[in-house]
Amino acid sequence: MSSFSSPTRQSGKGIIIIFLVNFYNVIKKSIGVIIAFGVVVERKTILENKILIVLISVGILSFFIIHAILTYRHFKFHITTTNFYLTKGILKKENTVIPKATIQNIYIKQNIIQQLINVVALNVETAGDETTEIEIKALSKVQAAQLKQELLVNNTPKTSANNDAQPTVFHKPSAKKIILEGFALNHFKTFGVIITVLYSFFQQNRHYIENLKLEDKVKHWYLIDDNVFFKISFFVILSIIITILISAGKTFFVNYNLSVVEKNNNLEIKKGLLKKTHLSLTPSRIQNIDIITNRLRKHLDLYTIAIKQAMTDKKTKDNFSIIALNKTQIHVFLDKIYANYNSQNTTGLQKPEPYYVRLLILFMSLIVLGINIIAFLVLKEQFWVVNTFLLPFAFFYIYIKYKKIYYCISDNYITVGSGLIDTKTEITAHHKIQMVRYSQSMFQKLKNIASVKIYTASNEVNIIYVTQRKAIAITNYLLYKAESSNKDWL
Amino acid sequence: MFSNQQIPTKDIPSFKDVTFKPIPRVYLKAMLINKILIYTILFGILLIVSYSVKSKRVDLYFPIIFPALGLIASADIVISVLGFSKRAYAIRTKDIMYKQGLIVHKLTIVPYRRIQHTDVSRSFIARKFKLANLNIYTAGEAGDDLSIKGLAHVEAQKLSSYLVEKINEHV
Repeated sequence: MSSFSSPTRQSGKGIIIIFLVNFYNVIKKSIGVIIAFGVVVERKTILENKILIVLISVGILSFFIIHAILTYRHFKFHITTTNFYLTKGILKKENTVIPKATIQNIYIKQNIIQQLINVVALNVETAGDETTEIEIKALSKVQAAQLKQELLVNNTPKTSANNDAQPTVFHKPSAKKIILEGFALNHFKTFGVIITVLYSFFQQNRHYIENLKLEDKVKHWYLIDDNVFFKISFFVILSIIITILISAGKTFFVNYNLSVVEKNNNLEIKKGLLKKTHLSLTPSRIQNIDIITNRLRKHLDLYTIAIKQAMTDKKTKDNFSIIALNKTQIHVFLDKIYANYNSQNTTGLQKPEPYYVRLLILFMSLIVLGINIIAFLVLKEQFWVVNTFLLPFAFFYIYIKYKKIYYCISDNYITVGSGLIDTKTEITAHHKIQMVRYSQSMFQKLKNIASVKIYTASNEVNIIYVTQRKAIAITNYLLYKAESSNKDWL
Repeated sequence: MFSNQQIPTKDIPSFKDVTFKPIPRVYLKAMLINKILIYTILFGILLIVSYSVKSKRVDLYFPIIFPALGLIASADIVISVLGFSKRAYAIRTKDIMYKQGLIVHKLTIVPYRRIQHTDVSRSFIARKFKLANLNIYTAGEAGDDLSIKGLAHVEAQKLSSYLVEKINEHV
């Protein structure tokens, strides 16, 4: 019945992929050594001995080719009705058994090389640790689709009724909307990186840039005399432009042609220009979701949903987000994933105690003090100038932090809001809770304040600085909910 | 104040009513020996470095580094001694709890159903004192799992097999 019932190898083209991937990884890791070696060789002028160089290169190349062939030969997988088996390894043999029921995600990827030779990679992820993750590097598209289907056969037990349901498109934003979202992102993090990169670039290539006499030309146009002022503003504006272009470009490339399709109760997400990803999500497997937006995006009605599953490693994490959703779609999505989310009995939005504000004020005062000391050492008497920027920022920081934070506990869900530039809403179902931690510092004990940290298989949620009585009640209630529920946490 | 429609909050068992069992006192001894060893090694390394480095600029820093390390070491040891009585654990029918911490007191509760596996680990010093650590792993990210340190070895093994029994009840 199954076409994978006997041990199967991947497509022969896999040898090419294995070879290139290994070769690339080794080169990447040993680039320092190679350069160092190159320097030594040059110094001793062995470079004239071309035969030796050729021999070494041929040796290294054939090692990688043989390694790729052997890896390919020893990599076999097959499927029974309940399990997926994989054997691999040339010297160190590995036998992996994955019960189909524990499979978290299956997704099909294609990098540039795979696109060129027309194969796809298939990844199988479980909730175990990261090493149990499996990647089959080269399969034909038909094979991959078939394998995926067979792996999912016993995987979705609750979908018997609408098994043949027509796929419906849930979300397919236009390219314009994706670009818009890219421009409206929170750019501060990228900005920090870009400004350091640019700064070091300018430092290194100072002479060359000064020779361009760029400054004189522009100064001539704008009649700016102040050299320092010009340098700083030129630098900042350039950084801002580059930052926004990079963020927007990245968003566009990663999310190009994004489509979210609902099929047999699963959500199929497809996206990507250079690196195409295609992944399916089983709603009951979702550990928690984050809804992210910011002031500007809210105004443009743009929201991102980040979906978290158990043990998804950092690289695939980004792929589980759906961008450019509007407010109505968020509500529809929440109702799909979390039954009755929008019509639950809730505690209402609860805020941390004023203790939190005092803590923020203390924290900010220390930072302001620190920066003032540095400013005094650098700018001498004019150090107070920094405070014209710093103090408004500190007030803004405390105000926004307190304004955006809240928590809300309903019969089945915990919702926690937070954020500074971004506004983040984290939603977790009670039956996904793995562990609860109640914590209180010495100072908090005096004020009867405590915090609760809730762990799921994918992240942790904090309910901070509430009264001790509330924290105890929340801990007891959530444990009761997690321990009395018969729903599967996975 | 949040409420719950199905069961009044009063009727939900509270972790505050549980009597905790302290960690055996011997573990403090083992812990102190361990810390003293580590700090002695650190001081040793620093001494060797300070004698072998001849640079005058670096020499200036040693009068600061030595007292600083001494201060850190003594603070660490004082805090561990004072905080030792805070370490305690408890077993309920549906979960296991462990609390610790002097400056920040943390109480962690893991429901049995969520335990993936457990193990009992012993360091060299712990073996001399017949002690062991009981590590409890959930599906959460690594490092966030529960580790009860310094249990009597027999007790750790007993607890571990009890937990495994509890896990298998649910599978």
